[in-house]
Amino acid sequence: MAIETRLSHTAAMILQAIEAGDGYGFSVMEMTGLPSGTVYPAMRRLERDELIRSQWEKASIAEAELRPARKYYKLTRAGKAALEASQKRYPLIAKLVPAARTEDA
Amino acid sequence: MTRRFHLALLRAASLAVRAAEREEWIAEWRAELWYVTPWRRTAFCLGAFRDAFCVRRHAPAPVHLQSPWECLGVLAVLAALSVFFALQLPLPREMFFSRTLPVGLVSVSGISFDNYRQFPAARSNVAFFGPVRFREGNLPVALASRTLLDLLHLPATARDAAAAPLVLTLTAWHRNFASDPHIVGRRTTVGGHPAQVVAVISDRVWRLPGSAEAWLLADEPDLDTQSVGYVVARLPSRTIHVTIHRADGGIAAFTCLPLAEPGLLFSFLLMMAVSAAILPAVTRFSLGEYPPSFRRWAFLAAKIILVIPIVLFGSCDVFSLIAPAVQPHAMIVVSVIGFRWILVDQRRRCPVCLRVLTHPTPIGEPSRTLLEWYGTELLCTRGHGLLHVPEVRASYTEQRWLRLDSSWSSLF
Repeated sequence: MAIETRLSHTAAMILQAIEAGDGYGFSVMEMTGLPSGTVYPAMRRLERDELIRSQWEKASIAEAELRPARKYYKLTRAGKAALEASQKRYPLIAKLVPAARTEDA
Repeated sequence: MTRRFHLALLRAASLAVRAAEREEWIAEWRAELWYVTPWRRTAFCLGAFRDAFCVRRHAPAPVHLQSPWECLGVLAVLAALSVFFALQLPLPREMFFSRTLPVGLVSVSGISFDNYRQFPAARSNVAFFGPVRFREGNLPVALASRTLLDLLHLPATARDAAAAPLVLTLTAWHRNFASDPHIVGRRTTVGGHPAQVVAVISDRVWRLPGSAEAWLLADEPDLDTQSVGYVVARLPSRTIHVTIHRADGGIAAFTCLPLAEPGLLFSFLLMMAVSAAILPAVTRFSLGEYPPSFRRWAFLAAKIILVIPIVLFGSCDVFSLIAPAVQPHAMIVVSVIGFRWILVDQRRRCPVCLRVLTHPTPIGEPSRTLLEWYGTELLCTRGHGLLHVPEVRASYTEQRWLRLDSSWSSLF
């Protein structure tokens, strides 16, 4: 319950975008429509709070796809619980973020 | 905008991140930049600055500044280096430590060359110069009497110039002669007459009246006796009054004011006054609610004493090398930053052991700010207590110190 109330709307959107999307910074920006100056600091705070964790992908995968290596973010167990709680608190989030992705596509 | 420009922006932002984290931080931003469409890249990179400052804000304080003694030691070393370099570098030395003799400046109006001849001082201590006579490109040049050489204490070789001696201001040297290191002795022409540069004088220390930026020295017979101009004199007192009998029978009275600024004292007072005016806009003066402690106040006083020479001399040292023109403004900016650091640092220290408080933890709920306490809690690693810093600052939400008694000692 404490986690639920600590999350702001922005943080909840970012968690939702990480869960629903590819999970790297630019994809989160695209899905949420938030600027870089908001998304990256927020993701660092979420990582500090252990709601998400990050990991660089293997260089060989990036080289095969002719692009730079991505730093992927994934929800931790606490992050998933926080997201579920946030979806109850902000019901539109679950619809909002996938809708934005579909629109982009 | 080119990719190189955006990478330079990211590189600049990365300077705010600690060196240990910088490579990974910039690697992530560079990788992400690859996906951004060209027309959005600048905005994307500007966001990196905010991220970099966030990362910096949450980084632990440098270890060497956590202890009060080590903090004072670092400040003392910086202060000593600042004073040392101020003594070595020409511009700071001239500004702070030159023993400029009192020099009087006569009011500009109504001084003709004839009036100048009546001046009550030894001829070598008085010089006359007129208004701007020539313009070489954008360089305004005035004619001056040769006694200006004595007034400036120029070496004897200056008197042996093959052509008319020319004295430049520092600004004119930078702008018109591209800071030529071999400027002294260089031949040039002024108003079609040959001239030889004999000296470059500081704009700050020797701020002559009028708009001239160079003075072509001429023998007194060559000066226009009817021209109205300026008299500069080295006089025994700081302010004197001079009465001159005009050719038309009238009497003119002049007040001679000091020309050279009182360097160190003036700079110090200016710095303190402007900083005191700006400081409330960038931080609070309050140091929080703490039990009275002589040690804490002594530590604050020591920091102020050590930071003053750092901002006064250090900023002058650095900016005299990289941008002398902005040095006075830079000193004010650096002093505001320095005094702000003193206050912020003081608020973030344990009032008992004076070590920097660590382990910042967000407490409370942002969505219930009005009903519940919300902010950050910091901890003294020696177990002396906790500091509550409210996220929303108001008169009734000052930061609070919670002292922990000995029953908590088992946790530390």
